[in-house]
This record gives sequence, C-alpha cells and structure tokens, in this order.
Amino acid sequence: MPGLCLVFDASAVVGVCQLVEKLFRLRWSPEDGVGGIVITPTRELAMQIFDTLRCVGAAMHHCCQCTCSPSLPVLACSAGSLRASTR
Amino acid sequence: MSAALLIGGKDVEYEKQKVSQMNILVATPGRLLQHMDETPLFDCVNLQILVLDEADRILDLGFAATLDAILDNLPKRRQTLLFSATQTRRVSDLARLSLRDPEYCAVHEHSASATPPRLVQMVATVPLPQKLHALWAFLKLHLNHKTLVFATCCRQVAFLHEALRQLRPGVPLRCLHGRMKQPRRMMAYTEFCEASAMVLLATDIAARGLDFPAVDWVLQLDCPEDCATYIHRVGRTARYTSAGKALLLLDPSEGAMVDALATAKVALKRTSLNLERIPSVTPSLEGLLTADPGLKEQAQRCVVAYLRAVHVMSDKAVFDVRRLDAVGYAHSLGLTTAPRLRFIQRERKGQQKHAGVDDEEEEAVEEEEEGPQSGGEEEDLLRPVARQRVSTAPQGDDDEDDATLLGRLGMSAALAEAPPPSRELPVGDAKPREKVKLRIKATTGTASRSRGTKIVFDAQGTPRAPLEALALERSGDGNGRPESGHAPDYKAAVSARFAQAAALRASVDAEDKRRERELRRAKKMDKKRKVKARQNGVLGADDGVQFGNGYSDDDGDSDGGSDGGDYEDDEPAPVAAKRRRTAEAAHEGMRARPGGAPSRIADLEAAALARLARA
Repeated sequence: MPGLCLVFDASAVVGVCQLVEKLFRLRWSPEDGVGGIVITPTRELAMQIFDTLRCVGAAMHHCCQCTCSPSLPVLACSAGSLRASTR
Repeated sequence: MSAALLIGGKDVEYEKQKVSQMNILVATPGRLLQHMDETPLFDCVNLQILVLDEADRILDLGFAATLDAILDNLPKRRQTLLFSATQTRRVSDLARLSLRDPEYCAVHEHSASATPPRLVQMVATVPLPQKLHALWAFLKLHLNHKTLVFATCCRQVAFLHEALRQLRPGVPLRCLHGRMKQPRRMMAYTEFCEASAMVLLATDIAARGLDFPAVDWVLQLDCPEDCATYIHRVGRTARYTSAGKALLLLDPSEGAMVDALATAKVALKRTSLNLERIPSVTPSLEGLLTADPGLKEQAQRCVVAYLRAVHVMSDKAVFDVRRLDAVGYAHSLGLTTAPRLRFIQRERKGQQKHAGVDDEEEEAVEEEEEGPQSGGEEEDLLRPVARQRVSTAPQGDDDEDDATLLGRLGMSAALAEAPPPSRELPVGDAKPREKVKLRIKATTGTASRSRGTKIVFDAQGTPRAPLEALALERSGDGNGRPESGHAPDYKAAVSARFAQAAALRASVDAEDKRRERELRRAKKMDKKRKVKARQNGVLGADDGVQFGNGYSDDDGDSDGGSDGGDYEDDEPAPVAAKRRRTAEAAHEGMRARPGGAPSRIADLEAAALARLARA
C-alpha cells in the first residue's frame, strides 16, 4: 500500500483498498448489485480515484488468481504482472 | 466485479444501460442522484460500504441537499469512510451520515504544522491592480517549472488563460474551471499530469485531492476562502516526500488572513516583491482587448465575477469588497472603464429598504448575465443551495465553481432582506426610480444640426446679438457708441433704418432707370447719326475704301523712297490735294469717333451724378 501511495493519492488508495477488500471478503458477486460507492466533490478527483480503483482491483484480481486465497488479499505483485493484469 | 465512473458531462443514456450491472461506483453527487432518480432497476439496497472523499467538502452546505437525497436512498446499515485533510468533527454532520461509534484517525494530528514539512510557504502583499503584473513576472521567471495558479472564480481563470495565452509567456498554459466542457477538462487535467513544465490556471476545483505529480510551485493569486482551502491548495505541491513552494498574494486589505492562518498552524514566511521593478502588462492587454471585443467582454466579466465572489465571502474580517480598488483592477486588465457593480448597489438598496419591483428586474438581469450553467451536472443542482458557516470550527469548503458562489449569493440576498429596515424612507424613495436616459437626438442630416449663434463684439468687447449691435451702431450717435441704457429700442431703430434704406434704394432705382433710358436714347441717336452719315457720305465711304488701298500704297511708296519726294510731286496737284484732304478728314473721323462717345457718356455721368447729389 505505501508503494501505491507513491503513485496515487493516499486517501484514495486507503479508501479504495478498504472498499475492495470488504467486498472481497463478502465474496461479492456481480449479481449482488451495488456494493460500494465512492463520492467525491469534483470530476477530476472521481477520475483519479477510478484510476486507483482499476489498478487496485486488477492487482487484487491477479493476486487472488495467484494465491487462490480470497480471504487474504495481499497487494504483492511485480510491476510486469500488474501491467499485464491492467491491460 | 465491475466498477463504473459516474461523472457529469458524460453520456447519461449509456450510463443508464450499464449502471444497474455495476458493483462499485465512483461518482460525483449530482450525477449519482440523477441516476438514483431517473434510472430504472438501479438500487443500492445491498450497499456495504460508502466512501466520502474530501468529506468535509461533501458534507458542506453546498452539497447538503444532494447528499441528503442520496443518503435517503442508501441503507442505514453500512460502513462509512470519510477522508479529508481538514476533517470536520461537527456532530451534526456526522449524525447526518447516521454514524455510530465513529473512529477518528489522523496522521499528523499532533504535528506542529498543518502543512507538509518540505513545503516552503511565502506570502506577499500585492495590491489588487498589480496582481496581474506580478503573475506575469512570476511566470516569466519560472518558465521551466510546473506551476499551479489558483484564482477565485471561473471567469477570472477563463480571462487570464485567454489573455496570457495571447501574450505568449513562453511556457505551456492550461486552464481548469467548472465552466469548461468535460473533454477539455479531462484534457487539461491529463496534460498537466504528464507535463514537466507547464502552468495550470485553476479555480478551487483543482484545490482538493488531485494528485498532480511534481508540482514545483503553487501560486495563489487571490486570498483563499478560508484556512482549509489554503491547506488544500498548497497541498497540491510537496506531495509525499517531495519538496515544493507556495506563494500567496494578498491585497493589503486582506492582511487578517495571515493571522487566521497562523492560528490554523500554518507558518508563512513574509516576502516582498519589488513592485516598481515589475513591468506592467496593461499596455499589451489594452491592445489585445481593443483587437478582440470578446476578450474585452471576458475582462469585464472577470472583474465583476471576482468582486462578486469577494462580496459573498463569509469571512467579513478578511474580505471587504469596498476596500478593494475595483477601478484600478479593471484598468490593470486593460479596460478603459470599470464595469458596473450591480450587486453592491443592490445591497445598498437592500439595506435601505425592502426589495421592490426594480430589484426583481435587476435580479432577472443578473441571472441572465450569469448565463446558463453547463447542463445536467452536479453544479446545476447546487444553484439554489445557500451556504453558511460557523466561524469557530475550521471547517472545509471550497468552490466547485460559480454555482456554489451563486448559492452563497442567494444566501446573502436572504440575509440582506432579513434585518428590519433601519429607518423609514420618504414615500418618494420607495417608488421605482425613473430611468433617465441621456440620449442624443437622432440627427439625420446636416440641416438639422445646430450651427451655433452669431455674436458680435463691439469696441468695448460686449457680446451682442448681431441685429442689436447693428442698430446701436447706426442709431447710437453715429460713432457706434452703444446706448446701454435702452437696448430694446434697437428694433425701432432697425425698422427706421430699414425704411431709410428702402427709400434710398427706390431713389437709386429711379436714377438707374433714368440713366439707362438716357443711355438707350443716346445709343439710338448715335445709330441714327451713323446711318445718316453713311447715307450722306456714300462717296466718302467709297473713298475710304480707296483711301485705304491708296493709303497703303502711298505708305509703301513713301517707305520705298522717303528721299524720293519727286515722285509725289510728279502727280497732278489737285488730285494730291484732294487726297490729302480726304485723308485728313478720315484721320479726323477716326480720331473723333472713339473720342466723341466717351465725352458724351462722361457728360451723361456727370449729369446723373449731379442729380444724385441733388437727391
């Protein structure tokens, strides 16, 4: 997470990670509908947080595929795999 | 899991189709509420977690109505996360979110400064009319830096961007404000993120949360609304471990802001700019404004919008629009005249007396002037919202753009109406004031144009009407001495003189007629005499012809041999004598004919003159 904070806004990273982790722990499925909402005052901030979310979500997805343990979402992956998963 | 970004300025229909399949939403309040209201099959009953970034801003009264409506659509049992650098601890705000046992977590709660340690913060006092020059000098001095310039309102940013762009500072220039279309906004944002040397002019929409990498300078052209705004603005630089510099330009009247910032644990270093050495950009701006009427209009709007923004600021200890040099500011932007500030006049009137018909009219004009907001956005929903603030708690709120400002405007109008009128005014003042228009009468041609009046100055230098002067000159002692005693008599004098002139003219006319008659008669007689002379002297006339020939011959002869007088003598004497006589007679006639008529005319003239003199 500190690594991500180098690239992104810290509060966005914290909020997004918290959100994704919670939904992950609940084994949220696409059929369950809206599980989390992030509200921001400006559009640019929304765009920035969305970028963060995409990155975090992709990393988490990749991580989950790697470890096969959704209960422990650890953001540990190489830059290359992060890139590959974002693509 | 799928996530969606819901922000204003994008395709609503497309979002409507997709939004019900999403699991995570990142949204601005306005668009989220729009979807909650309009989109079928969209509900949030299963919501687990709600994240409010820049929570103090979201909970601010600018977003209050929208946020309350959103919260009504959300389940009560959920986890709520609030993030902000300037977090509010007001119970009323937290209660609105139905928080139970809130946990407060702060990173730098006990640190000495509210701002990052590697941030160098400076403040300089620059009078409002000089700020633009200072900005220009700053830009020219920091061409290879990444600079973020904050101004108060959208109009200001729009004008500054356009004007500075045309002045070519030598560094890429972008602007970011709430009135821009979404694609341009995104473009400016991404470009500024990627650039290494660029200037971004922005309103407070860029003040919060945005993570531009490696910003060197944050220049605050105008005083921030409050301490929280200041902290967020300077927070755009010196991110994480990097360093940064911030400069705040304050008008002399806004000095109280420094103290307010000091109490909010912000340490500012005072610097002074050498204002005399800063070159003025006003002349070049004047040229630009003359060439481009659109830019001129922007400049006018910039002045009005800025002063209105200052006018509706809540912290009256810092912001006082009356102490700002509005005219000087307008002139510094290259305007020749300062635009009218209706809101100040209106407030004065509002303080004096209740709102009348006139006020409503002006309000309508004001709204019109404000122009339509970009439709269907979160800003639109803010329009009627009024903001208010408790001055004790440092509580965050910044400007999305003019929309919130408008909200505050509405509020200030409400406040202005609320206090009872301090004194009763006479009935006349309550009437809608008459509109006096100074209109120049339409002149179609030169005929209708006034040509001024003629004035004659006499020897003493007294100005008089021409008729009067003339009358005085004629009647008064003959020397032109004015009879100042009875000036109105000049009309009688004039009429008398007129009669005199008429009589003179009649007599002269009669004289002329007589003279003409004489002349005609003389001419006739002359003609008759000529005819008689011709009838008498047919021979003489023949002689004349012969004489002419002979004379020329003689002439030739005499010329041929002046010394040979023998030839003449050879001729018979009577013929020669006769010839000589006729020649003499002819000479006499030739002499007498031109001479005779003038003598007669002279006689006539003498007679006429004698008669004239008699008359």
